[in-house]
Amino acid sequence: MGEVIVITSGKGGVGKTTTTANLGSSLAESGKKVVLVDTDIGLRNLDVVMGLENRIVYDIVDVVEEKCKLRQALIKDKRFEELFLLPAAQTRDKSAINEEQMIELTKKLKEEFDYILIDCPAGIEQGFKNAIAGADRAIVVTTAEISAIRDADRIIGLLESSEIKNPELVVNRLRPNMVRKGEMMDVDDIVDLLSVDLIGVVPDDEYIITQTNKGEPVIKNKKAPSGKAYIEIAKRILGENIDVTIPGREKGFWAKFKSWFRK
Amino acid sequence: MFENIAKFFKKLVKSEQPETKSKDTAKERLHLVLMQDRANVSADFLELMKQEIIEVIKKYIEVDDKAIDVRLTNKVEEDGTNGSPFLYANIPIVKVKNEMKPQEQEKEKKIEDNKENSIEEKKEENKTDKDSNEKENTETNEEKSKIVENNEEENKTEEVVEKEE
Repeated sequence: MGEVIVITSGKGGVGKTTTTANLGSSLAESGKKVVLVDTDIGLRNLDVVMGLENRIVYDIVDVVEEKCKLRQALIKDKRFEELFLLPAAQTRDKSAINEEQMIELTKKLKEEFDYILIDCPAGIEQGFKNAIAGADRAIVVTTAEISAIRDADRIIGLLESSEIKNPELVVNRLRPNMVRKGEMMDVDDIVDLLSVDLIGVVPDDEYIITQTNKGEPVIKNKKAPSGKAYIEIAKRILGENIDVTIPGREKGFWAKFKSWFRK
Repeated sequence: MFENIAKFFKKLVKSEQPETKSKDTAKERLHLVLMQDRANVSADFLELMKQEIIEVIKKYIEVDDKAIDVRLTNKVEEDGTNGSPFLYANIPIVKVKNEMKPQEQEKEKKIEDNKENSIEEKKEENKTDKDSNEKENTETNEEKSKIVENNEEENKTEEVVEKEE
């Protein structure tokens, strides 16, 4: 029986889709059978981030409306064994699906997959309700920006009042240099304000953009610090008990040595 | 030793920077806004809760339904900033139901009404919005409502009021 994890944030543009794509890829790389579900109907993007946009025939609405079989709508990723995408519909809207249908869909997916990652749309309306309907667990993505944190707090409140307890936090796009100068909120500040468990911190880097340009997950580029952070989060999802690495506070002699020469 | 040198250089750099960091401003603003957001509960929810609180209190005390004031608000800290949200309830009591004989209760009520009126006269006009037939106003602090359960306690609270003046 698989686990359904919803990746949500409230605010748009904080990196839900990128996080979904990379966590899914990393879990698949660890040998798990994974499906990524894009619930952002009308504004689908997980397909382009994954580089699978040319292979879409059927989508999530077709499955729910029984115009095709679930198997037919699933797109197999060629880079990873056992990684699949269920794309959103682009020409419909959020009301094309309801919560009961989502619960039904996730039930079916749970039978076949180890992890079902749901990419949630921004906002707290129908799309959000659909995305969390069948979820067992939630990952809330935020950046260190005031607006993103406020929305994350709202989302955490909504998740807790539904049946999803203990959402876990990903702080995305952290800039260690700015944190060091006191020009960006620290991870500790954010965790204090939101009082949730931290599952990972992803540094802001250019690899995210260059890899997404190519339709490749950033975990594929071994040089990318952001990719390493995503791999670490995936390990924690798998239950490994490892400390969260905070960018700018790396351990080890070399990191310390370098820190002496930074402003 | 190296760390000391590093600290020295860090201090040099720090002294050139302005005192207030934008991150602290962000933190402070966010703290306030989250408190407000969290305390903001829908009117339906509050009305439902109010009705249930009244039902329970009515078992023991006769209250003035129309004058009841229940709301969620923010505790004001000593430094004037908003603290954690708390439940405020102002429930005017008409009559305390207890095991006393009705006649005795009536007598006591009259005596207390007199007392209450004399206190009311002393008070500043802007301080209270109580009706004259209200015996006592109870206030809740930090979600614990003090409910006056018998006449003895009522007298005590009146003493407190007198002391405050």
